[in-house]
Amino acid sequence: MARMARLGSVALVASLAGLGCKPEFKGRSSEIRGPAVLAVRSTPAEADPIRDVTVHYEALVVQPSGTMEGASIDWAFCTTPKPLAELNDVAYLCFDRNDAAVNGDPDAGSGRAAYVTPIGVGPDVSAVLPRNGCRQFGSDVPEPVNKDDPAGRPADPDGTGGYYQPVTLVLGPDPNNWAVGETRLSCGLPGATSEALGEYRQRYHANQNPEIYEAHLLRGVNGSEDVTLNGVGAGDPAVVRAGETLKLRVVWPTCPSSAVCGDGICSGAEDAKACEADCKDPHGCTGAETYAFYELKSRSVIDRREAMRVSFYATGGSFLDDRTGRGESEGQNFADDTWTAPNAPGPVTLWLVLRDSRGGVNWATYPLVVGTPGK
Amino acid sequence: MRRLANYMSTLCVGLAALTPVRSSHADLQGGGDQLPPAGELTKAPKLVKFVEAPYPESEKKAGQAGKAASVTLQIAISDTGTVIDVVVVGSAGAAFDSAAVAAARLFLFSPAEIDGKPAPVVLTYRYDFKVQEVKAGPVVNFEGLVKDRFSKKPIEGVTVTVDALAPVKTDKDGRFTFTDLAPGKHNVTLAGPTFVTVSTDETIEQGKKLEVKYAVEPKQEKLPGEEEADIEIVVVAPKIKKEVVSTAIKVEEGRKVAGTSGDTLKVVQNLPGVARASFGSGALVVWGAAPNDTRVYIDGVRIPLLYHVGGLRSTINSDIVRGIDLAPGGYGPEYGGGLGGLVTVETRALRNDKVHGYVSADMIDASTMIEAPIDGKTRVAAAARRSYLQKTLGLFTKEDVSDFVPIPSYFDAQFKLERDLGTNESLTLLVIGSSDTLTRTLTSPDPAQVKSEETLATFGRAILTYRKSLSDGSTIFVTPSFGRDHQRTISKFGGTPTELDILGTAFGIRAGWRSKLTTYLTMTAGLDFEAMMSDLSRQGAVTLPPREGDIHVFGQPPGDQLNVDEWSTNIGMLAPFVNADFSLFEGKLHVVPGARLAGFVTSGSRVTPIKGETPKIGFTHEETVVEPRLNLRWAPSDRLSFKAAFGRYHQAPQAEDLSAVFGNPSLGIASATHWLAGVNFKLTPKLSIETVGFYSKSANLVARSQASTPLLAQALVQEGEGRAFGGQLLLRQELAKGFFGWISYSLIRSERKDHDGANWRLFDYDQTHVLTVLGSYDLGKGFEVGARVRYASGFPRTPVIDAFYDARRDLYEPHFGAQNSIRVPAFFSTDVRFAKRFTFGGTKLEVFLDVQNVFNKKNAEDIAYNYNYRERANITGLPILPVLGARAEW
Repeated sequence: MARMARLGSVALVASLAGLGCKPEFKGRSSEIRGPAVLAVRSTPAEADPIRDVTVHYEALVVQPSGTMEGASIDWAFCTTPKPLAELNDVAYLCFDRNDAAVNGDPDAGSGRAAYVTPIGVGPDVSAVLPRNGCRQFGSDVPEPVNKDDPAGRPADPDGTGGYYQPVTLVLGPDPNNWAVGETRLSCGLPGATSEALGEYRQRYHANQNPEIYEAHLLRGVNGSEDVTLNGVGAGDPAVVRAGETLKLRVVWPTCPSSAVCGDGICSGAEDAKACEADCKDPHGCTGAETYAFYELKSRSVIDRREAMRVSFYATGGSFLDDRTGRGESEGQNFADDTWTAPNAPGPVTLWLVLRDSRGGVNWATYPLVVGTPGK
Repeated sequence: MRRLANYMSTLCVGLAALTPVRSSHADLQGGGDQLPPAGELTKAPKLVKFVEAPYPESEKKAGQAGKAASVTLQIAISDTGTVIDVVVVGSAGAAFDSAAVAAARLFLFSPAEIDGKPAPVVLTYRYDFKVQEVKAGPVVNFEGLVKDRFSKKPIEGVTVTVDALAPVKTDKDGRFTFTDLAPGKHNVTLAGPTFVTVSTDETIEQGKKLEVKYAVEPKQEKLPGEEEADIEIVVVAPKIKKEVVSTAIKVEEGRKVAGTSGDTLKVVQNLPGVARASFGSGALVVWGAAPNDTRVYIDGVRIPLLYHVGGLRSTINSDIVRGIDLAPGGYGPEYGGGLGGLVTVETRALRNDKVHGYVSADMIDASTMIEAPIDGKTRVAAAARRSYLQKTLGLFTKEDVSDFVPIPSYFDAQFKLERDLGTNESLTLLVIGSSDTLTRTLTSPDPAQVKSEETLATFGRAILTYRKSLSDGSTIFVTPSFGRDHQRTISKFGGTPTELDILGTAFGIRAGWRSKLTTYLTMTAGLDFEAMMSDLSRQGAVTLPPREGDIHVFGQPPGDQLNVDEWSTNIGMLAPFVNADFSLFEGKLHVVPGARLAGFVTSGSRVTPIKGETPKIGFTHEETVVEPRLNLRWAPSDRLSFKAAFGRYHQAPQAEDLSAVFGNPSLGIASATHWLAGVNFKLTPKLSIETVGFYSKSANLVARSQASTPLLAQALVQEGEGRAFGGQLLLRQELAKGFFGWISYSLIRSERKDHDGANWRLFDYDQTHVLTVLGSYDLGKGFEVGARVRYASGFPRTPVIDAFYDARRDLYEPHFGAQNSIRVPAFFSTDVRFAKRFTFGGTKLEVFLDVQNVFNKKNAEDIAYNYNYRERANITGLPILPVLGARAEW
């Protein structure tokens, strides 16, 4: 009896271990199998649309042979918010070319969707943010479709309190190779009291794109041998051994947890009046910033810290994890992964993309050379 | 042990005497005449003292004996067998009536028993005053008719023996006679090759003729412990009206169905018209209606969950249940408030002979129950069950499997107290509670992929039921109820938190009266009131969890746009109802019109989202609707019956949909109309086939706003429509010769239209084909084997035709093709069950092995995509799952 129970339980364990398991797929996001956009950077990372801010957009575009310089990208601002019934981040109409044809849109036949405003073609573009960003995608009451309609429903903020202006990218020559980048919008607060809004405006500082401070390939049991990636370039690639497994560490700057006037970072309750040295020409921290957050549940302004994510890509070899990072509560300023070099000697390109949770992004490209095993 | 009432047969008793004499004819009927049901008649009342009524002098003509007359009486007898009231329901004139009533008041009966305990019943008795001339020679004073219980045909050649006298055989009309039997008690035995020999006692009185009718059951192979079939008691008081289309499951049968691990209530998922739920959901999708549209009641009181989270077990212990009944549509006016089907669970009457109980355990959970009489008038029972699957797994694996697999932890308990208040009235208290918790965490080095989930679902109900049988045979009941519900879900997907907390207080009163006003009319009237006061808070994405109609794929990361709301609602429904059952053409045709006058009240704390210091403004909506219902049943023969039904139904909005942020506080009631027609044919007394076709349409369904900029507080709109049509077939063999089983097949199409101008699309829960074949066979010597085979179409899904890369969130987002234009592959599974029963004195032990998916078929439960939606594959569900368990009862 007991044995039967044990056998049964073992079978049950085996059964349940397989419950709801996703199937294993071949492809991984860290592999480069064709032309692909890996990141889109908006500079500045955050802006107030009513100030007619010019934003510079650039993309990290890669292909199996390496970085795709001078890629032909068709850039456009998405002009319509997504319906609540859509679970995606950006409205399907901003991609739907069929709708342009059906509606007699002037862009019909241009390959563009109906609900976009073109801003240029090329590897990078600059454009002024649409002034109605906070109405379309932010906390302001949206413009009614019909003049006499009652007030519409403002968009909801993301988990960091942010709203975003989407910009679509079509990576030529494939018209179906879509991507979307976003610029964080400085909008108001939904339903906040004037007191909370005042406090928020004083303490909140626009997001800054992060930067990769250091990157290292660590060899040995405790990473005793450091193959630093800082300073490597096309003419001076880092060399690794074929088939070897290395720890990969990505480091970003350390940010102050509280505002200190004179540290060069305009943060916390600092403003130009309170700390001219830091905030006259305000700069944020390029690491995991502490930022003011309007918590909807408590209707109060609190401090939070950005989470950081690193995405790993390479033209060869394999990563243990495609992405790693640090959550909000983790104080470390680095993230680790493990990379196994390909067995075949030759050049490999490594890309590291660092994102903060407020939409900031930056990346670095490292050329590597895989030598023969043991060398 | 099967009950006597399971072997229905008929007893008709008649008395006759010489000139001028009284004769009487009684149809003893009882049990099951209460609303809700009172139980089964397990022992018939028997006339043990007959009092002769003097022939009224005023009715005698000069020089003559008098005329024949019949007075039909309704006699109410107490649980001790004494007559407590006599009412004339068929008059023969004042003099005859008076004489008959006076005599009947002095009758004495052996007590009737319902569910094994003495109980008051009402019976109809015809007192005949006949005129016969005195003849010389032998006098027939005992005669009768023997017929087949099921076919109702007379049986020729039955050997009828009275005491040790020479036996006689029935003639071609099934009749027999005895002459000049001595007054007193005689043992009568019926024997024949085609039925089980039965015997009974009859009393012959001086100068009277006893007329009897015996209905005997064809012989079957008897199971150990089964009682003999003997006599059927036909209920004369108004019977419980079953819905036109409903499938009732007896607990003892349900427990033996393979794949249910002994849980009778899980059998509902195998009934016709019910879609197969995905593994781990336990959702009840009946006739293409949304799970929330099908309502579950226990003893007339609605409960929020029939199954624990994950669907592993029901929330009600099967051992406290008498039966479960599924009406997929077209049900009568006693129930309402839902657009879909109706599941009614009825608890059983408690036994009063001694202490009973059981202990049961398998690898998923353990349960126990104890049942005891307190005194002659009070009985109690208590049951409890707790799961330990998480701990079971921990014994055999080092990893905390529960962190990766959703393994619910649940608990439920029931307490029942029955108290006989006096003759014909009782009070019952039922308290039930259920709790589910589910916690799991999925860690990842990527903070955006860290997932955690914590779910709590509890509910409790206290249900008080007062019942009384009146002297005229009518019954009344009042059932007030009170309960608390708590549902909480807290999850975090990366940096996206989701939280939903609903704390509700439920009140309800159900009251009813049922009476057989005439021989052809039974009336039911009552009141159905229920109210739910809820406090809710929600945080997260509007689109999480996805609603029916939202286009998404399994595993798609939720949107990261968040909001928060806190609100409260009061939702009430007050519905007086009436139902008239016209029994025409000797009961062959039943025309049952009915109606509910349903008033819905919905109020809430906030009509718009919080904005600064703006004070909140509440809202109240009232709507009153008439819901006509009509049931028709026509049985041109004992084996063939036709049925049809129509009904209008309305449903109040869900409290969670009345949020000014996530929903729409102005939502009103949704409506549905059901039409159905069917036919039932009995191939044999216990083998029947039933087929039903149906059509239902619904309107004012709640759907997500399709607007890119919806109006404030209108994230949901009431523009949806639905329609479902199809048919179902049930070939069912009731327990006979140790075997029972059924084949059910449903062919259903269910569609939705989310707003005007939209195309009809498949309903998310549409399941075209559902086939279930199951059976259980008693091999003898305590061995039992059962099997279940299921086939079901997969649920519809929307294909991904393209994807774009979201550079901010570093993930691909899908572009979809036509909504619900593909399906999850069909499901096919075979389950088996083996059991062995042992008996140790008064204790019975059963050991069982229930193996689900015995052939380890890799059934698809859903469709998943790789990170960029370029690859698609199926998520497989339950592999082979053996569950070993044991149960001891006494």
